[in-house]
Amino acid sequence: MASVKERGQVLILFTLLISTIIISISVLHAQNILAGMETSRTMMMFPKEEIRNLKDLAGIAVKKMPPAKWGEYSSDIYDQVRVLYSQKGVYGDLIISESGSKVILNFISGDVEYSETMNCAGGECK
Amino acid sequence: MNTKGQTFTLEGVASALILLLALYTLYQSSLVISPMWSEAVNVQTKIKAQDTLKILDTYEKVDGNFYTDSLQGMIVNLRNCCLGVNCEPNEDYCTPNEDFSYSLGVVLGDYDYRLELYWVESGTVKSAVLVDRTPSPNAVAASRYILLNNSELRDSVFYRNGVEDWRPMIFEVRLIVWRP
Repeated sequence: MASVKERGQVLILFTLLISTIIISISVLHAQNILAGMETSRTMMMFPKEEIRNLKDLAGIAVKKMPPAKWGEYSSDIYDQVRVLYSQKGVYGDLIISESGSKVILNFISGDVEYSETMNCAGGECK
Repeated sequence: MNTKGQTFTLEGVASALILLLALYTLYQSSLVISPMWSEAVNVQTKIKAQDTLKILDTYEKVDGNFYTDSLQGMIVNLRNCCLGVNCEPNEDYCTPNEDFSYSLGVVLGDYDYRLELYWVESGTVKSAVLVDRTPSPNAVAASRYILLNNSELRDSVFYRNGVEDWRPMIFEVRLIVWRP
């Protein structure tokens, strides 16, 4: 009877051992899913469309801008973009400088701070 | 002895599998957090709305006019109507032209939508609802900014008399989309 009891204990011990291994693996698995979801969420929530739209707008503004009036035109664009973005709780602006050969783009929200200087010489922003 | 050992091992594996099943179910149920999934669905709807606005955003012109079903053409063709809360009861509210409404409906498919327009006048934001439908609680908004010069707005309700033709005006077209 003693030997049977010992075998029972060994069985329980092995079961515990295997269970612990499996639990560890399942925890790892669960962590991976969580990390994956967080990463995809961060990527999906990044305001890339807002920034692309601002860049498109910069290109259009430079094309439509009368060269002689670039200062006033820039000021009009800057004021309107800033006010329109402010009602959405984010800061966005477009600053046309150096007679329209450079455009500075700023986008600042709670999560993202983005700034870019585009070279717009010749009417095409890069 | 050998047979018993194998039986014990099998029992061990079987019990471990049961434990694994229980744990897996537990982890799965705790992982599927509903706000996260609803957020993922919201993001998909938002991407749909953003793509729709991007498709309709074209500065190309035919014979000097914007396509009537583009965002630009829609704004330019808001004529002989009134915007905002200043409308008299006998006046027509501004609504998008038929071509635009048709194209927007085709691109959006099963989704229902509301369309709003925002612009700046004397430093303050003005707005108008062009398509007035009541969104459901899971509605998502997307915006597109459009730049038009005063000369391009001639004949539209946005034309500013006495202002130079080159003066720019930026519009925010806001599309609110939801599944009915």
